[in-house]
Amino acid sequence: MKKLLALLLAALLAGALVACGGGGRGPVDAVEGDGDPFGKYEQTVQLDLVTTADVTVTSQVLAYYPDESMADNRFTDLYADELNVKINYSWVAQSTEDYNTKLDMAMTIGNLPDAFIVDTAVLSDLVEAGQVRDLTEVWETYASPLLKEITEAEGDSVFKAASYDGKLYGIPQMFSSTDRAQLVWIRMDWLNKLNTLYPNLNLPAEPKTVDDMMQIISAFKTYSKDLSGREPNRAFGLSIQGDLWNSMGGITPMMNMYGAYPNIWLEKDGQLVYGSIQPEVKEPLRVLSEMYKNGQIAQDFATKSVTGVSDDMTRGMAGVVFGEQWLCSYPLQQVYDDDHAADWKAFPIFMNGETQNPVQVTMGTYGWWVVSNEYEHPEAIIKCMNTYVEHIWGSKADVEKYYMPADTGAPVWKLSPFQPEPPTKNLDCYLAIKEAQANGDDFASLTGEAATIYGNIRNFFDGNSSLWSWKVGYWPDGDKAVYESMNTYVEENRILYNAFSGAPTDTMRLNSQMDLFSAKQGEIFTAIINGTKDVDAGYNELVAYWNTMHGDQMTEEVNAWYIATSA
Amino acid sequence: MVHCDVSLTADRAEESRPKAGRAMHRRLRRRKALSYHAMLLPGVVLTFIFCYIPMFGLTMAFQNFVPSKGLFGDQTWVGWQNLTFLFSLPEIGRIFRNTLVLAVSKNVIGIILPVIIAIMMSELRHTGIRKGVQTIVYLPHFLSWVIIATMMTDMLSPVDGAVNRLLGVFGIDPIYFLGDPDIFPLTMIVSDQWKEAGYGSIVYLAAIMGIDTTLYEAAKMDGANKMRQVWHVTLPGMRGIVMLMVMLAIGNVLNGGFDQVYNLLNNQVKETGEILDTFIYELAFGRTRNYSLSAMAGLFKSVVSFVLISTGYFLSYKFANYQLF
Repeated sequence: MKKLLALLLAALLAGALVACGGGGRGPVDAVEGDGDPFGKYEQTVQLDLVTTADVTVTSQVLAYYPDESMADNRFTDLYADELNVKINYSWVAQSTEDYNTKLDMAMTIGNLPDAFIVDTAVLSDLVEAGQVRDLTEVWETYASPLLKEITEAEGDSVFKAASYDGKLYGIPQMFSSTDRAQLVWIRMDWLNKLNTLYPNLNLPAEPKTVDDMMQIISAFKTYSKDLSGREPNRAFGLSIQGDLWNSMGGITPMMNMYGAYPNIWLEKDGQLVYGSIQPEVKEPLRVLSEMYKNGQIAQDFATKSVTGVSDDMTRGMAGVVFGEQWLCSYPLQQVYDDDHAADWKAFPIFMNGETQNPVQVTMGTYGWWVVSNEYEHPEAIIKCMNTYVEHIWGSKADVEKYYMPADTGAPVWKLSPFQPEPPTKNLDCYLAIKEAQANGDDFASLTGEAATIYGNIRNFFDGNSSLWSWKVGYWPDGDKAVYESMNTYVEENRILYNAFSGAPTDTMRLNSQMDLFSAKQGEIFTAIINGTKDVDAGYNELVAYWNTMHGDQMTEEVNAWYIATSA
Repeated sequence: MVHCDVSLTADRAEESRPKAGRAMHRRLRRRKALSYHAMLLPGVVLTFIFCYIPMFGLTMAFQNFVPSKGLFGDQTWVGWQNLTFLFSLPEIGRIFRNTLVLAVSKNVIGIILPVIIAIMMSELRHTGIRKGVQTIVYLPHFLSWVIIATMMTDMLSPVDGAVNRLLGVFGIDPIYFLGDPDIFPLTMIVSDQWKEAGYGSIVYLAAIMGIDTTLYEAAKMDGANKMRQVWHVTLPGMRGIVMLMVMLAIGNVLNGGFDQVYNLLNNQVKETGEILDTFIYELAFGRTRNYSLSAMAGLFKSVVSFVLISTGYFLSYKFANYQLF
């Protein structure tokens, strides 16, 4: 009934539009409106959306701006004033899981919002069911040059993933994937201290290879009494956690240093293969199990979560941890708050002997905006995106108002439903600061976000110790900044992306076989590390499970996709 | 049941009434019954909405359900394929074993322990102490498993946990309560009792309070000591409620305790810790959100529980002559 009404309404509106424009075209699959990327609608356009606002939106943003809410804030005002688009939320989810479940529910009862973000699996279902609009022409006509530049910055694989029969059905919501590359965090003040106290240990001043790293981890445990005052049996060198692939305290960089690439598809002799079942995973697992036996990894790592890893750092139990660039703000800022001597440095993953292996990045965090078939103004979301990027990175940039006000440091951009961002924006800020420094401390020339970041660093040097993480992240003190290491990854082309970026194949989705495999992999790898399973036996068991879950069929499908897209 | 009793008394009262008042009284009674029915209505409506209507969703178990096609959309029917797949999984054996081990031990101990606690509390004569003890043993029930799980992870850590430090004082080597596959089920059972046994004793305590005190006096006259009184008076007096609880527990034979296990499960103890409910949850709300598989697993679980609870009811009626309804 509701559908019928909506259809009737759509038909009526369509009639009205045709009457207004005087043209003979219907609205479906054709570009309507003024063709102006920033054109303001004469009549208010309603846009019903759904979105995710996690706890940080309340704690980091709304706490400072009690007059604003998800439903009514600077961005809803911006879109209303500039474009005459009125945004309404049908619902606001608390987390990604919550969003996915709620969206499934909405789809099941046929109550689709006008536009929403989906992953590749849902996207392919929606396209197959014919419920979302072809956005090819709308994107071509309405996306502003800046928006196009931002969205296309990391290549066309994000567009390929949302295209069916050459038609584009989803607009990629860009997040930086280079920022997802993991680093090796080492507590340098401990290393320096050991070098001063025990020069005959011959510890490297700066680790360069995996062996250096192992030596440091071992020394951090053995001499923990000198470092944190803990007995060596209550300390260990490296902190890892139960979720082995977490972006904090996982083992992905360890794997990468040995040339193993679990959880992603990679090219081998012209074919795509799944990294988890390649024999390369054996060596790093063997090393980790050795470390576990020597007590260099916590005996209870399997029951640890992100909080557990954070505790290891703050309690001085470990001085080496793998993780993404944001570790400096959590938990290392806390370590610094407790002990101003704490000095952490993030290294790019180390060389293994003479071999420098790339670091892996899974493009799993992407989302695509789709527009319901029943919505009349697909261009409205693109106009909103244009406006968003224009007001933060474009000619009308007002970082103070729309990105991060300097006085509160609140990430107010989280209030916008559309958040496309240049994938290299953080790195660009760092490079700008570095250049300004090289040009004789010409920091006045900084603009936009880089200026805000520099302001934070300045405040840190002026005595605000809670802004330490900004210094660690962006201050080019020699080569100590986190983004210097990120820059190394980018400049030396040391990032390995998941070679498969298409929608999950039929076999992967059938009976959740890929998920079941991932669960099994976590279990077996944990058992290998803690010594309950022999490396070879465990590896063989995993390969056998891969076959049980029709792994060869998945590989076939992925290769078919590979051939189809690279042609 | 309450409703029946009331109308019975009303009937009896009616007989002794003069004829003239009868019609009016019947109207009155009907009005009274109406109000009882009205009170029942919200419950019935809610049960219908939340328990009966969703049953149509069970069709999902026989489909390859894709949300975007809609609930009544063009879904692919796959017959029993989801069930066959579940039973072809290499893990299914251990999942059932773990579920049964946890559920049976939790439910058996979950009846014995509260009964003992209730008897001991009823024997406490000092009201101040009794109230204090009651509060202390009830309290854990009101904490959520999320909170307790965090506390447990911290306290039971083999490296820095309070419990293992205490054991260390007595020269006992650290025990990895949450990471050792052999100990994990025991940790689950004990912590579950710690949380729920006190609260579970309330019903039994109420039953003990309802026992006629003259029975105890008579027993005392016959020379029964405390133990004898408990054996011959208290326990028989609790028989009805214990039977009821046993019967309700039978339906739980595949309930391993989702909240608890989900919050404490980790890769190291899946071998002995993964239960049906955590498995279903991962299937339904994991990365691929496979509603069909989890609906089938849930349906299977319900059918087993239904069969068991019916059998239990039938047996208790036949052999113990106990009727719930």
